[in-house]
Amino acid sequence: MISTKVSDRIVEFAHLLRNSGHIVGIKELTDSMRIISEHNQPDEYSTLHSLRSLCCRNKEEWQHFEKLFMSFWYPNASAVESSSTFQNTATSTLKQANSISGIAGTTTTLFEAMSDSIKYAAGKQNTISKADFRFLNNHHAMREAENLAEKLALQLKARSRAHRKIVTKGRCMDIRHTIRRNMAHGGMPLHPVFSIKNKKPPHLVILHDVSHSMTWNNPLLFRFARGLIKACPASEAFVFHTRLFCVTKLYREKSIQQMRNKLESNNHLWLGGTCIAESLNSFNQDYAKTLLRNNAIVIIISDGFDTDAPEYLASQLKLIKSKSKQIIWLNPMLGRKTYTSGTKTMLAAKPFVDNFLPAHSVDALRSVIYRMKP
Amino acid sequence: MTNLSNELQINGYVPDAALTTTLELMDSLDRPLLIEGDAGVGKTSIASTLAKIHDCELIRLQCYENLDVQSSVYEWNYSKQLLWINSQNNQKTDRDINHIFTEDFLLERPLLKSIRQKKSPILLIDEIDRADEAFEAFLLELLSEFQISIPELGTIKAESIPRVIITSNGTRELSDALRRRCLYHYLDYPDRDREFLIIEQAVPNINKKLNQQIVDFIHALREQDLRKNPGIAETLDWSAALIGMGVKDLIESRELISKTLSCLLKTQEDCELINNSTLEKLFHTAS
Repeated sequence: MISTKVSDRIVEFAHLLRNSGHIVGIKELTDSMRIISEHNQPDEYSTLHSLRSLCCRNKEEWQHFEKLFMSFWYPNASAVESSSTFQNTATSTLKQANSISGIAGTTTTLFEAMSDSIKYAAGKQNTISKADFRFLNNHHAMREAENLAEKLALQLKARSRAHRKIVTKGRCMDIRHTIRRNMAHGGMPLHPVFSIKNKKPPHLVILHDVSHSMTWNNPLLFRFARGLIKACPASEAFVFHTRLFCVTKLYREKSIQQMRNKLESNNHLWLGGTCIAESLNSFNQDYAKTLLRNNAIVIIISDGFDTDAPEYLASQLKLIKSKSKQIIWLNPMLGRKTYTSGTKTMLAAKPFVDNFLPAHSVDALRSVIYRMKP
Repeated sequence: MTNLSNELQINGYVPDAALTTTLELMDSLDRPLLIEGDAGVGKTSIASTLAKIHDCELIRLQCYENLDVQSSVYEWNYSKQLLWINSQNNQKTDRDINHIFTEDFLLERPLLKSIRQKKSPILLIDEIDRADEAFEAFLLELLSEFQISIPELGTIKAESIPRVIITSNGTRELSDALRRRCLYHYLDYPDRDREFLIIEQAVPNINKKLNQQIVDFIHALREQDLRKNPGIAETLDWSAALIGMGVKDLIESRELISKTLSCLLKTQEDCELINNSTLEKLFHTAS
């Protein structure tokens, strides 16, 4: 049996974890108490490992947990202890639970320090989903929104996975299901069952404007584009400002950090001005022949501020449209009430673009995914 | 050092304290364990080592795309059912038809087999991220209640609760429902001391100097921007290859070493990345 004081502190710790994005339910809480009560002399090292295994659900939470644990239970130690320092102190024990500063002490400072994430505790997902990317100045919220954007794009993969679907009419008979269904007839296939392949993931070509005017939206749209590329293996991604660059390989990086580092190291990509029509011309000349086909969906991510002539843009879009299934233009500005899509560029593009969609929030991106389902 | 840690080491697995605690927790709470980590860090071998320690059966389910209930949980033996129906001389009644959906005609697949063992087995569900989201849903009942529902037979409860280890390489996001039913452990590449011990245990005739040089070289190599970092299996293969070639000192056998890098580098990109100048830097680290 553990004392009320200790159990209260464990509950407080669970709240802290929840505010940091961990999912700690009643079962995790009762199991945590059970573990601590079962150990007569638990050292902080094994307590840390036990609680971490119980309360973490993924790599990010796992790597962040030690910091939270140390800050909560050992607030008097230096703000964030490194792992090695922690291991050096691992010999001390929780024998006298109340002597641990974290149990008896206050964690007000810590809660204050984490106020940023607490702001998003209630209905966090909902708030971030609806928020315009421009107003996500908070670091945690930005990261959360980026993760949501990428997860959202990955849903496309789940929707279009190459399952075989069981149907009553078709060309390819499913032997197992036919026998199963006709067992009552001694296996005689009186009621044949067929299977058909689900549609393959769409073939996407992403053309992403990375000029200065898109700066606010780009971190999130990068993650969204990365998710799309991961979900649809045959897809390709390009970025452009005054020139066009292929970035498919960077988006396929397993680690997000590596992708960021490589994008940042290629900082020649971010030059400032925008020549949409010229960039599309480069695409048409160098890549369109191999990448565009009748099932290709071309996604242009841009706010539509172009220094090229609108007629030039129209001619390039016409070429793309003639070789692809659909053109979707994602414009972050469409989410703003004050924005009118009557600019010369957008009017010139209108006849060739199948869908102009807003891309200013996670919810707006969700509707894009629904439009692209196979 | 705890008993479990000792036993793991005796059976050829060198754990760190965090892993030992998690495995002890898995036993005491009877909860499945989800292990994530890069390929080659030793996720799968935990299961086989535990099977040796507990002297029980290791039941392995290798996941793949389109894995379904028929391949993972149970299947009716259709040919046997048909033979039985035909043997009834065409005088079939409803009772006869129901009879073909009994234990006699049931084929056990790994998940069903794991809950029908007298002695708790180790159930390894390997690379679950390769399976579909739908398959995760099949698993939920097993992981939380340790039971399986077969529509024609009813619910089959576990005779003994299996120790379930689920591994994932993190190639896709697993559902929250699955994650919250499991304990979680993220297995990273071993630190230098642990990797030294692993090599010492797996390649007993290696000298300490060469062992240390290999560890330093591998750790420096992992810091390069490789597409596929060398895992423990690659380290052990390379160590065995070097011993087989009679290498006593890594630095003195540079020429020979560069020819054995195929044990460590698994993609063309990585081979191109580790050119002579990079290799020199790695040797410098190892020296």
